[in-house]
Amino acid sequence: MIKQSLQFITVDVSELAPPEPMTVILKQLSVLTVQQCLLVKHRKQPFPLYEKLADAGFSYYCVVHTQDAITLYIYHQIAEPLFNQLLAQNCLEKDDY
Amino acid sequence: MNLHGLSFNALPPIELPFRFFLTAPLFVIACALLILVSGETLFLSRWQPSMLALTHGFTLGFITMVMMGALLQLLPVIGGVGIAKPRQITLICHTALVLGTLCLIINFIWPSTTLTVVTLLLLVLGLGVYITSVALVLLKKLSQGGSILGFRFAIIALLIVALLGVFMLNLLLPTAIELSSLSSNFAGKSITNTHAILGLVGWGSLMIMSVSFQVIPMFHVAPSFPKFISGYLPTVLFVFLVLFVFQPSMIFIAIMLIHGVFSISLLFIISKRKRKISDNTIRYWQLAAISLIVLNLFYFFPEAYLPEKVVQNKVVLIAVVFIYFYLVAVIQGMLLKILPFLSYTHLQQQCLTNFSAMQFLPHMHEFLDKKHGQWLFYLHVVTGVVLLITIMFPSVYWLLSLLLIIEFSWLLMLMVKTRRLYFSILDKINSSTNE
Repeated sequence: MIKQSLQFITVDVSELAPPEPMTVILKQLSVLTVQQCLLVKHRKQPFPLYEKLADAGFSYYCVVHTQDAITLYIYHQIAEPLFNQLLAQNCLEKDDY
Repeated sequence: MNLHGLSFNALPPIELPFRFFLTAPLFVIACALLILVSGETLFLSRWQPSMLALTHGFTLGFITMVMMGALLQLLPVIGGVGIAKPRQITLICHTALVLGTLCLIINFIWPSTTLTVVTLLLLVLGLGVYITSVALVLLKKLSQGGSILGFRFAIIALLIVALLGVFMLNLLLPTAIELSSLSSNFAGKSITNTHAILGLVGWGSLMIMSVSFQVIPMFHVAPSFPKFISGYLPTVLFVFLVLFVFQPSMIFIAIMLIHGVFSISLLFIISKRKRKISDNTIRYWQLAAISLIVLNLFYFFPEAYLPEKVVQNKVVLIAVVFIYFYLVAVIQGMLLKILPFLSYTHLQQQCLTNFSAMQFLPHMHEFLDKKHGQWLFYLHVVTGVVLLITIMFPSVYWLLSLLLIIEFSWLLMLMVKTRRLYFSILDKINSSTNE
């Protein structure tokens, strides 16, 4: 039920050279609604983005799979309770990665 | 590892690394003028005061200056944490390093006790504050362990280089503290060689290797370096550098071979990149790798088969190839990549709070025209060849001086142009946000 209320939009930027990953993420974030969560497949953690995301009203959650593979979830701060519920139910990676 | 809302430092303001980058070419231009004024006598011996002034202008004024600025940006990107109070730290370190290096260069040419004391104070302040603030970040548990370990070794090497430099400058003072009676390692040319090797290999090369493990896969969508290279090479090199203090000639062979291994793996990783588009930074990396291979061949080639003039200048030629075709080449190549990238990334981040401002973002290549970067590459190769010729035939010193002025003025112009475009776009973004 909860999952239905948070729609996942997946983008894979793992084979793009900088700054294209950030361009793709920005374009997606510009149209991301509070009912949506952006799921980014990336090679590296975009560390400098993290603090800026908070300033812009977004939260994030990062899962590091290997040295060259991470999944980054970005969602509106208002959707954090919903996201945390999904996380508690351990259905993020199982269903969405 | 899961990271949920941890506090990461954002990139430091772009003007901080730019301050280091913009100052660096000015030191090489000053070095070129020194060559022009000194004439061919400058190349008579590597122990000449004006030659020492020249090498420190290059190594402290250009190489260290750029590396210090770049590390300010690399730490948050690679490790996730930047230095605390970057504005204040940069103000102190940059100012002290610029003035300290200038005083050091002048002090080599016109030595004086007062100038030696001023040089000591400025360089200890500039390098000391920088090393401490970077060390405080590197002591933390950071992401990307392999590279961060290399950064730690490089910073330790810089600290030792600085301490040895302080010790040697102290010898110029009437109140000099002498340590040569304690060990032969503290005597004459032995300490100078350790200072030079730790500076060029420990601080310069070790840092470049560690950075390459991160930036080549990241910027060029290439595979990661093999674990045995990225995981162990920095440690092995650092151990050999420590051993170099006690057994210089034997260990130097190992240091050369390690660079050979690094250069082959570098060429291999570059050849495996997914998008093989022409790129000036890649050309610089390839030039650096090939130069290291040539350096190995030259070093191990029997001297009996080499012309006498080459044998006489072998040590200087090795140092020149290492500095100009490897260290300076990689640094220039990286500048061509990070100047537009940083400008673009900083502007992109402004758009996070105002998505409509994305319309003002130009294409990244507009920050630095590829063709202009290519000219810089060709200038670098030509200047490097003329530098090698000048070592053996000093009468062409004027040509070297002229080429250095052209090359580094061109680099400076490219940086100024990038910076100008950055601030004009930033103005547009800010005015659209304030509307």
